Amino acid sequence: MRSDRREESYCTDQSALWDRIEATAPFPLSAIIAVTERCNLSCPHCYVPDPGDGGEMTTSQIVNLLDQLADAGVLKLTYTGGEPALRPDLAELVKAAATRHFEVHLKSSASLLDLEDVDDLWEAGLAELNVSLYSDRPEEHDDFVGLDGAWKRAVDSLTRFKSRGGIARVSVVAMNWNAARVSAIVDRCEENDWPYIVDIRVSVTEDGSMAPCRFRVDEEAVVKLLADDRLVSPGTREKSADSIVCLAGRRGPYIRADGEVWACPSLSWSFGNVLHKPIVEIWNGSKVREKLLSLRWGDSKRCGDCEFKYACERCPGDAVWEHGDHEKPSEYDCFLARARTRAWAGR
Amino acid sequence: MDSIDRVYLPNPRIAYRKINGDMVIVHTLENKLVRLNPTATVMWENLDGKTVAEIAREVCAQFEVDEEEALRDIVEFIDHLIERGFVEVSPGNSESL
Ligand code: SF4
Ligand code: SF4
Repeated sequence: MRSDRREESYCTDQSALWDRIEATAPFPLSAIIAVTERCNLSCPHCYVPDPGDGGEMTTSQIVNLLDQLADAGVLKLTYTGGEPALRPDLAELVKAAATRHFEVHLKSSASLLDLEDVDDLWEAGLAELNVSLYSDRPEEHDDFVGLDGAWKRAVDSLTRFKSRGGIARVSVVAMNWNAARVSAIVDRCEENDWPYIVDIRVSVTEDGSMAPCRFRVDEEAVVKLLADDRLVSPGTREKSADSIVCLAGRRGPYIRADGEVWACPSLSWSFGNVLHKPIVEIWNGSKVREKLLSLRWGDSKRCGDCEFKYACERCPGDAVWEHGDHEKPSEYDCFLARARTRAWAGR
Repeated sequence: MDSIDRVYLPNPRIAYRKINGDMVIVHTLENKLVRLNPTATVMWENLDGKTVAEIAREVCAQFEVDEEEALRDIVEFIDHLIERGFVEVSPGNSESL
């Protein structure tokens, strides 16, 4: 009786339990809010259009949104940008989310944060600080983002946040100019016990500019990168004709600074705007989302029959920008799947 | 201070919500995700400034158990929660640590 009353559903595979809970939950368990499109840096590969022109939700509009997301059951809340630290109310927004019992994550370049700001964010209840590093060499990073001292601020902020007890995570985008430095960045992360994510994908901007694509890695670089077996690819899985294509519309919403609700930053289909309608109504009533949910691997015969599909992370967002049809493969995804297959064959 | 007079509160950096009637708790730093059953959910919901003894009385009021058994259960449950970093002793009674 006692253990029965107290028993908890512990699960050794946390992501499997997360998926099980999310599958039956009335709303996704995570959400991303871009609190601004403005940025103090000028990273030329960024998917956020420059300069942002769609306006920004006010503090009270975001707090109202937090109430709705909390009622809907969202557990993980990520603030992103642009550069969120350009908002003077950032610590207030973190605190508003933490007091509503979200686990609060922040994506920032940290280039505007001094150690006191990092402490303030920790005190406000931030659980994870996620910072991008583009090189282990300070001058290369600073050159790319267009600000002297940005690398030092990033590393100091990560170090401070970790020392306070938080999760200091590093995001790395592997590009043609920095691919050779990725292993060294990962080494630094491991030395400091910073979890890291390495992305080999460079997407078009949210308004369809192909400008960032000039930084995409070529096949040789992918093969060299993936020779480092610390880098794994999340999209690899067996796929049948009935497999879903990606988690867009299943995982939580990406809410843009102007209140528009998207499935993710790469897919420019609006489900509605939180300034005009409650988020749950937007999400559950969206015809656009229904279209995404019905998407299956075998909808494209070419994908269904493809010898590279195991290694493929086919992205409907890339396809829409490339040729307008989300059901068909994009050449970019095919290129990545072929390159991954070749890289793994050599491991 | 006796342990049953202590007050425990949720760690402010974890997330928790009731989803489909069960409390779900996330603590990424510790790589922990748990779903509580209905009784544990009631215990969790009472970690709002009540003492351990007061929570035991709440549990007795909602489920058919005697107070001594409920108390034992809650103490054990709170031990689990502390181990996982889900709760902290309230600053108001930290002198008892
Ligand atoms: S590699 Fe191209 S054709 Fe093959 S499954 Fe992926 S997107 Fe489809
Ligand atoms: S695969 Fe593309 S559309 Fe799907 S979630 Fe990922 S980025 Fe978005």
